[in-house]
Amino acid sequence: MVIYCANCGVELPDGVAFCDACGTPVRGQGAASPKAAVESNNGIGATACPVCGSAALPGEAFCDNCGAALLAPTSYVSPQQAQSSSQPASSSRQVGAPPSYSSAPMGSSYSSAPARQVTASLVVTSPPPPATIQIPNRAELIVGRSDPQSNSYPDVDLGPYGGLDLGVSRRHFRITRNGEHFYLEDLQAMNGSIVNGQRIPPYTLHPLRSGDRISLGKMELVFELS
Amino acid sequence: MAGELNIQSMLSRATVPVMNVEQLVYCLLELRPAETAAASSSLPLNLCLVLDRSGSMHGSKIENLREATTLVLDMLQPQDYISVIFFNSRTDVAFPSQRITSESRRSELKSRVAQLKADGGTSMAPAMEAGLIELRKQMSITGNSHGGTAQVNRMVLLTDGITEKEKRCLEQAEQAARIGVPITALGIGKDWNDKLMQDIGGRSGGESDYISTPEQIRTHFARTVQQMQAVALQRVSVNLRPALGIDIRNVFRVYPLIARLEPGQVADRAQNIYLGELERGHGQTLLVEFVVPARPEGSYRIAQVDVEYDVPQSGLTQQRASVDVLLSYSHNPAVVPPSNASIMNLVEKVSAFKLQTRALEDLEKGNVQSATQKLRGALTHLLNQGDTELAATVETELANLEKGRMMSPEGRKTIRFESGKTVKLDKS
Repeated sequence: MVIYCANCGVELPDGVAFCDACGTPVRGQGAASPKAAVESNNGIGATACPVCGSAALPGEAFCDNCGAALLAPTSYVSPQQAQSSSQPASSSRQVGAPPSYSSAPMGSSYSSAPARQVTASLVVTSPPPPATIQIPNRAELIVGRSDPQSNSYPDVDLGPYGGLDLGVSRRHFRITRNGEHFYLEDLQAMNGSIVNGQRIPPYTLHPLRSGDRISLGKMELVFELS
Repeated sequence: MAGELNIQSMLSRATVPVMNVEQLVYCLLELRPAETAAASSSLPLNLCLVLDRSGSMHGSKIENLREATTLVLDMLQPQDYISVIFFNSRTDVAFPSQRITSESRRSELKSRVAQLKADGGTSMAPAMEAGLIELRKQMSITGNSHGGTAQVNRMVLLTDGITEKEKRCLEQAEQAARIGVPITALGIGKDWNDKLMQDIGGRSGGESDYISTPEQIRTHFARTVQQMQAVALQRVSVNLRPALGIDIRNVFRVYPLIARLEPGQVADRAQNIYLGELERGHGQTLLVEFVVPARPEGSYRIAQVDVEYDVPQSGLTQQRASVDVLLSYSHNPAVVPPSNASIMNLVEKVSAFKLQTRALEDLEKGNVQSATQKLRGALTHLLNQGDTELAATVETELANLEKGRMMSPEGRKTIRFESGKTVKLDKS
């Protein structure tokens, strides 16, 4: 009996496992019904580069034009992470879980901004000299570097400390405050946010404690409460 | 009998989500000579050194060059052929192609190298031509265009200056490719044309590198001889046959050096890539970018990879090995694995390489702004990869460009030749 490929209709020689033309498996032809290729982009990647706007394919890791990272860093393990076996298996290994864009889960809002007398600051420890930046007393704020061209003006601007050269993104991370508790949320910055040597998966809230070291590219910060 | 070559294919993700659009999947293809082939002794070498002795080589460069050449003479086996050509404005065949059949012969050749003095100008093309003549003496006349005899051919070309008649040098490189002689093109110091030497290496099917200090000449020479001695398979070519609807967007070699490979079209969708020689140990690794269409859930063969090769030690020609590249599509996000970290690291290295290569091209065209942007992107990748040394060079040259200055010649050479290295040469 002559067999034809269920997908492309090519005549198949005996005994082949896959259609020579289109690669469809010969066994289980019935299973592959040519309908319903559905669903959207399961968080696998952008279809346009967020930096330069060039077209990109889902699954593509870096923009072919400008080199910007297109996959969330969560989708693969960085070399540093791969090396440190001491690190617990974190959620960063789950790909396909779409990033949660919802804001702070503890129900904070601008209106309920905390009034406690705890003040937070970020100390730029590298590059020297050390500089202390007071964090405004707000429920939420963005740390990054200003860029007039893209009309980006974060609440805490690391531009004057060499942010551009050191690899700080325009919107690098968000600090969310709930009472005396502070959380860092990486905004899928190109170089990621590393707290005490651990890369924080984007769009997840990571509790900050006084003395935590935050690395953004080559810039080093210390988070301090007083 | 096949089995002298191991091929392994690995996808960045073996399962992709079912989507209504095209997706990109990275595939790593490792080609390694099998242990059986690896156990054999080395093939006879046919080596020609073509060395610059112009006035600018004076001092530690010529001293180290003498020492490195002597080292090569010490490394050769009685079965190997060696010839040495010195050049300044003139071409001087220091000794024609011969075997080192006795220790007295070896000492005699060494004493000729010891007399090497630096003076005069730089005219490289006639010396390359003379080198090819020496190499051809040991290549069978009846042999095919890829040096079908069981030996390993190589020219090592070293210069520190700008040569006359660059176009003729490139013609010699193309001639070398036709007769199956890869050229290892090495530049030392800061006043040579890095683009030319890169093109000579590339067009001949060989490689090129920047020697930043004279002490490193011997490391480069010794490594070339070791590479030649490690050749296990020859005339290796890869035939990539993607399934209908699958596109191959790019093919890069990622090991031992990153390079974009230009496949020749064979028939229909198939692409053929000539790899040349495979060395014992690691062989070569390719990175293939497949663009895969929307497909229903299921498992598919997206490509077949056929490799053809010769096993010179056993006189076997046109042996074949094949592997299928299989990809699954699934609706269930839980079975879609994270991308393979080691593949994605290589993808990032390739991205950094592309950006640096294009930045240099932009600079050649005078497009400084575009070059700066690309170098900035490359810098991010280099920092991610922990390549702090090259990152520091890129940063310095970025600063130069932003201040309206030119790149330093050393910086440009470092970027050109280091960006493609997945393994760094031990600087000893």
